[in-house]
Amino acid sequence: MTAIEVRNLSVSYGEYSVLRDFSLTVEVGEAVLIQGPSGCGKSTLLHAICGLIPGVIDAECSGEVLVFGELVQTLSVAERAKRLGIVFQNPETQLFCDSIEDEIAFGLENICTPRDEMARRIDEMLKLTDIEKYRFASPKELSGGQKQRVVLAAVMALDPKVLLLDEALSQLDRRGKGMLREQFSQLRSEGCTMLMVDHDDELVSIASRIINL
Amino acid sequence: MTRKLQRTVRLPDPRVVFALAFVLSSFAVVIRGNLWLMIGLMAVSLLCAVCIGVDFRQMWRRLRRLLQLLLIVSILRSVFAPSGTILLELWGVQILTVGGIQIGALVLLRLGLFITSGAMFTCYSVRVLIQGMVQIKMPYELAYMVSVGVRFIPQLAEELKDSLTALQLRGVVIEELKLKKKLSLYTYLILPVIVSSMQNAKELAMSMEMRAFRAERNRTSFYALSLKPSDIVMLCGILAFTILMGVILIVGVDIF
Repeated sequence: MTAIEVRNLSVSYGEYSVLRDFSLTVEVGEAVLIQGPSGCGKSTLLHAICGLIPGVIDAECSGEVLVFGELVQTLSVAERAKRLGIVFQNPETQLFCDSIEDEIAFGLENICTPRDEMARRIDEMLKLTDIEKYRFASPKELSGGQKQRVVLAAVMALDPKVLLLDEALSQLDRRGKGMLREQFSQLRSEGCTMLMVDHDDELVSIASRIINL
Repeated sequence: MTRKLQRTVRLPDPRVVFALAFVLSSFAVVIRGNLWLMIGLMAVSLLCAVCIGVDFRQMWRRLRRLLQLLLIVSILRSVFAPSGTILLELWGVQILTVGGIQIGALVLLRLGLFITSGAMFTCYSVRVLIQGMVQIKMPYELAYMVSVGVRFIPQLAEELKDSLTALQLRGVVIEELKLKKKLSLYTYLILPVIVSSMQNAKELAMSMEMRAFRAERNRTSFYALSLKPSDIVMLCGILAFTILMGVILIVGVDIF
């Protein structure tokens, strides 16, 4: 079954063209890594897949992005969040709550999850990302790697069908990268569909297919 | 459970503090010309702030410069609005008068009341305040907007500080610059800092949207506030205080 299908996608910011007639298919259970130098349009591709382009980000866009057979632009915000989870580069701009627990609960509250179910999901995510002891800590007290694990927990709490990683390791130190890579490997071994973009070889070991942009 | 949360549990419900701050700041605006009533209101406000646990030492450290500025503003207000008995006159110009001092003191107390009312919220975590706002039927989008906005200010200050440090590392001694050059330096700095903050805000918005923010008209909440009997007693006290103040203002009872 096809999880993501990108058909002839072209994106440009004003006169600056980033992607031209790009096509991609990601099957369920695959872990695709897209590599390329900075500025080649890796993040733009993920933004378009998430439906942030056009809309939230000003850009001219043509082509189609289908997520599980449906055009991403026609999906509701809730439906999009349930199908696609994305971890961006900078953990600082993805965390905004007072505690880790609140951070994980945020998405679940938005999709009107009942309180008991929320408690169960939070426990599960804390365990999955091995941050149980930080449950009531503020994200400010954590290291870069730990913060990115909190982001991962918050994203995975919504149980997305596809996990997108936008250079998720790029701002971490060696230890942080190691911790997070381990986490991604675990998700991969559990059959999670992943689409990763990176400018170096950090995630090669996790990928089942590599595409150079 | 962390110390911060334990402390939050002992505090009154944030809705009580919303009511209190609303009443105090409303009366601070409404009261005109009655210095003793304003002093009484300030005393009540300080007492409440102490009971809630406002850290005045930290407040002083943060707001020292602003308070000094407020003091100067009130002195100027007293100088430029002379009335009543003259206390100091130089070259035929009334510098200090009893009426002027009263007006200056009223301005100072009014601003002090706003600061004290705002300071009460610093005892609560942002999450608790948001939940309070949501439970008084404020749209949750607005409550989150407030919370994100609150975070935005220190971030802006931090970035400005970083840019200033970067400039100093390149050999610019800001202290030695003349005021005109200092001002032009700040105008050069502010633009990139604002652009960078806007970029961060955009990334935050994308992250929130991808976690289904505003997906539904309403949202559930993992954390819920419930009014304790002591909160209800406090709310009744605030209501009684409001009625008493209203009577004093409307009937004009001169209790002082």
